Amino acid sequence: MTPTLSVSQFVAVLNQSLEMILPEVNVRGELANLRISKNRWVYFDLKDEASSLKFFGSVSVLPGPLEDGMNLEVNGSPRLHNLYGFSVNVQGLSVIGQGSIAKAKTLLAKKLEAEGLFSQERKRNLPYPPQRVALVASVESAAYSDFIKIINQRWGNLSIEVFDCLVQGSNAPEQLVKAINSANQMPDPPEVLVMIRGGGSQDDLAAFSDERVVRAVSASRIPTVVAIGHERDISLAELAADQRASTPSNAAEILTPDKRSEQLALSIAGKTLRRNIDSIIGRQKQENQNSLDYLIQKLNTKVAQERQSLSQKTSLANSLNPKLPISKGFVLVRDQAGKQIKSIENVKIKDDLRLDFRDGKITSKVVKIYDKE
Amino acid sequence: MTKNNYSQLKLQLDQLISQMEDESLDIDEALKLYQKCQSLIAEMDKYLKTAEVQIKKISQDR
Repeated sequence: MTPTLSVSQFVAVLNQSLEMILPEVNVRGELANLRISKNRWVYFDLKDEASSLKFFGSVSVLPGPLEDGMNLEVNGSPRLHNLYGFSVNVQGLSVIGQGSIAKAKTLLAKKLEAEGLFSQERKRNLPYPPQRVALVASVESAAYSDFIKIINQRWGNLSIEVFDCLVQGSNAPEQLVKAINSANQMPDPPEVLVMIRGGGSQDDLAAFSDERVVRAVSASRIPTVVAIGHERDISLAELAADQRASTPSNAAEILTPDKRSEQLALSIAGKTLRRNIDSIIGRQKQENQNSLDYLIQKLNTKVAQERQSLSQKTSLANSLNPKLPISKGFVLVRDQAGKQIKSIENVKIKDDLRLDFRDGKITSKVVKIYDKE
Repeated sequence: MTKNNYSQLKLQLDQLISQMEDESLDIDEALKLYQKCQSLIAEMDKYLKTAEVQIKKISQDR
C-alpha cells in the first residue's frame, strides 16, 4: 500500500533512509556554479553529461581557489533540506584529473605568490647538522625507509621525532597540517621539520599543493625541508619551504654531512696542519738562530768598542801620571813637612828642602833666591 | 755595597781623569787619583774579559 506522508514527514523519512543506505558518499564530476557566501559557506554543483547535483559546505574544505570546469571528487553526506531541497553536505573535497589539478595549482600558486609565501627573503638557514628533527611522513612508505636509511648511513647522530600521517587522498591535507602544527607546538621543538613523500601521480601528490598544507609549511616556526619525490613538478609546499629537496634521500643528504667524507677531510686537515706546524717551527727555529747570531755579533762589536775606549782612557790616564815628569828628569821639591813646593814665594833663605829625583831623594838648604826672570 | 756596573765604572774613570787634568792639583792628591784610575781600569778590563768569555760560551752552545 502506498504511504501518505506530510512534507516534513517525507523529508524525515527520506533523510533516515539516506542515513541508513548512503550515510557518506564520494561523488566525482565537473564543477559548476561555484559560489562563496559571506566568506564562510560554499555552494556549487557537480555535473556530468546527463545530471547535476548540488553541494553545500564550509569554505574550510576548499583546497584552494577553484574554477568552474575543474574536475572534483567530493566526499559528503546526502541530505534533503526541509526548505532548500536536496544537496550533499561536503566534508572533504579534492581536485582530480591532470588538467584540473594543474589549473587549481596554478591559481593557488598565483594567489600565494602574491602574498609573498614563496619569497626568497623568507627562507631561513638550516642548522648543519641538526641534532633533532621532526619528520612528517607515512611510516609505511618507501620514502620514510629511504630517509631513515640514508640518515643512518651518513651521520647517525640525529634524533628523529616522527609524525606519521597520510600523504595522499582527501584526508591527507588535514593530517599533514595537524602533524606540522603538533611539531611546532612541542615545548622544546626540534631544529628542523622535514616533510617527505615518494613519487606519484598528480592526484597522489595533490595534498602537497593544498592551500592549508602550504600555509602550514609557510607559518612553521621550525625551519622546513620539503622533499616530494617528483622531479618534474614541484609542489607548492616545496616552494613555501625554507629548503626544497628533490627526493627524500636528497633531504637526508642536505640535512647531514657524510661522516666518512668528514673523517677523510679531517684526516687530511690533520696532516696538513701537522706539516704547517712543522714548517712554522722550522722557520721559527731558523729565525731564532739568526737573531742569536745577530745578537752575538752586536755583543762582540760592543765589547770591541768598549775595549778601544778603555784603551784610549788608559793612555790618557797614563799621560797624566804625576810621576811622569820626575821620570823624565824633573825634580819634585818638598818642604821638611813633605808638602810640595811649587813656587819660590813659598821658600826663604836657609829653609831645608827635600828633593825627589827619579832614583832617590836628597835634602838641601836654600842659599839664595833668584827672582823670576 | 752593591757592585757597580760597567757604565758606572766608566763614568767614575771619566770623572777621575777630569780631576787629574786640574793643574793646581797637589802631587800627592794627583798620585791618589792616578792609583784609583789604575784600579778602575783593571776592574773594567776584567769586566770586558768576563763578557768576552760569556759571549764565546753562548756562541759555542747554540
